[in-house]
Amino acid sequence: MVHVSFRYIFGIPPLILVLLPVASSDCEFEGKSGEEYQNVIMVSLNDLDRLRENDSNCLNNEPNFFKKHSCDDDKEATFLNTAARKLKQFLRMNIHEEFKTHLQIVSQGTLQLLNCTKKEEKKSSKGQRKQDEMCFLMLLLEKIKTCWNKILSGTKEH
Amino acid sequence: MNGIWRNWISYLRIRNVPQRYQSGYHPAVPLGSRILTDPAKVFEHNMCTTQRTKNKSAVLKQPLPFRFLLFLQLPLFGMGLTPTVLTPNGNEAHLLPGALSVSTLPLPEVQCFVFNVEYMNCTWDSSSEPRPTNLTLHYWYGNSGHDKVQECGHYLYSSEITSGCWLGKEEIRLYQTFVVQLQDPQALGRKTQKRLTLKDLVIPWAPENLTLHNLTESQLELRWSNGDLGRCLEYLVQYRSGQDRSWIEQLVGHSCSFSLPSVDGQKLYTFRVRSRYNPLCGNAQHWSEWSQPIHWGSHISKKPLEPPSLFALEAVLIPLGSVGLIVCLIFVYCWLERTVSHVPSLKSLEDLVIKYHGNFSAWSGVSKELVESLQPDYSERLCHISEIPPKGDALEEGPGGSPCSQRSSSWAPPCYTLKPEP
Repeated sequence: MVHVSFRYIFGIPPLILVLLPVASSDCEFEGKSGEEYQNVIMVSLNDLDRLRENDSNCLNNEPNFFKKHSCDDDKEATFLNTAARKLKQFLRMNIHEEFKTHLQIVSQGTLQLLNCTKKEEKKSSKGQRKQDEMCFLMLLLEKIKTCWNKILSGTKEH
Repeated sequence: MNGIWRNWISYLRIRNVPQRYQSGYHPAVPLGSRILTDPAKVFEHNMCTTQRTKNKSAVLKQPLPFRFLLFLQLPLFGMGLTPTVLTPNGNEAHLLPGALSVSTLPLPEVQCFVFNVEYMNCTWDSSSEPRPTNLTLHYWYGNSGHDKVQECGHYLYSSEITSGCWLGKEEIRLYQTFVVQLQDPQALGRKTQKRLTLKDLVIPWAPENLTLHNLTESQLELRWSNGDLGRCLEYLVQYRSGQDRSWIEQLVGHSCSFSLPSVDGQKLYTFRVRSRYNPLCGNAQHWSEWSQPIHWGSHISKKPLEPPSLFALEAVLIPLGSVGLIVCLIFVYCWLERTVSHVPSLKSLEDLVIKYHGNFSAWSGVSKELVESLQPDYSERLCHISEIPPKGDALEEGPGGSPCSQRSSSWAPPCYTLKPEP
């Protein structure tokens, strides 16, 4: 009996404390009017779309990152926060300066509007081919844009 | 019939294989067999059974009547019989007539549009199929995976053939990848998949309830209702005034109003609006239908002045005008002939002396009445004025007498004389 009560006293509360940040949203979303998105972030997203090469060699299967992180209902801000931080990793790639500038605008602009307090995730150390990285980057930008659209539409999808 | 078909196939196989070595005394052995009867034919011995040879003389020739019978089987193949084919592993497989060509045909492309986020239609061109086929549609969303594949619950038909699928609002998820699969149920290997982003395929309804009112004396404001989609829409306003044939257009954000700074009250203005699901909530490229037009301005139904036909000007008006002008000139000439007196013609001066005896008026042709009318009808005597001499000097009358003493028979003009100064 003693060891059972010991488990309940010292085991569950720490577990709750650990899980609580994951379940709750740490973001104070400030861009719901859509003006900042339309005048700043969307402009850079469109320029990135214009600057990217026509890479039709990307496969249709989704990387694991998007299976773990998706723009689900009530998790839009969390997804954008994670995605924007992921974008920062691509700033170290050997890419065009104009492309980098727009990446930074999207990343920093999103993080500022979200105003989240969540800590930065660990960087991915997997070595990927440049083509795979570009495919992932393009897909990430598309997901960010879609999630912004969803937030601004106020739509809840099941 | 199957037997005849088998013979035909066998003939084809035999025809295409190289010649076997045959001796007069030893039985022929199949190519590739383990027994090499002639060392000189080691090549054929090792040859594959299906390998062709370029040496036509090596082709085994069948007797002519037998070949003729085999060729007769060709028309039977086209009569719809079910032939059998020898597969590489030696099994027979039934071959449907024409099935090979249909299974390689591509399926028509599926097009999906979401109408005002109320329902979605996915359609395809069913007439492109060589035979009427009820194609089936399945769909799922990218995040849910293949576990939640659903078949269309409400097919659309064209000539009793499936040509589309209707999906309700509950089945629409704009912000997830929509995967649609079209399949031929008679050939399960014949299918096509397509991944769509539904947020870019939204077509809203046309704007409604257009109203106009004056902000100021010369400024006009157009308003309309935005429906359920709110700020997700952007609008395009077109207007024209009076007799203009071309529209002036202005892109408006998600606000449901448009103002025209200066308007002319004498002109008739026409406005219309359409909307698009862009850019805050999606990136659709298709616009909605135009709204019903609304008018403002002069209520007099002024038909726009159409430019007069050049043909009417050139062919009718100009000739008529010219004829009228000529007629007028003729009338003016005649009138002038009657009213204006002629200038007398100057005849020979000899006639003046000889013939008319100095009668100038008769010679010149001036009428007697005109001559009389030019005669003066009054007379006026000249009055000489002179100074009265000083005293003693009497005014002597001249030999001619003063004109004052002249008296006309009708009137004695007064004579004025100057009196000397005292």
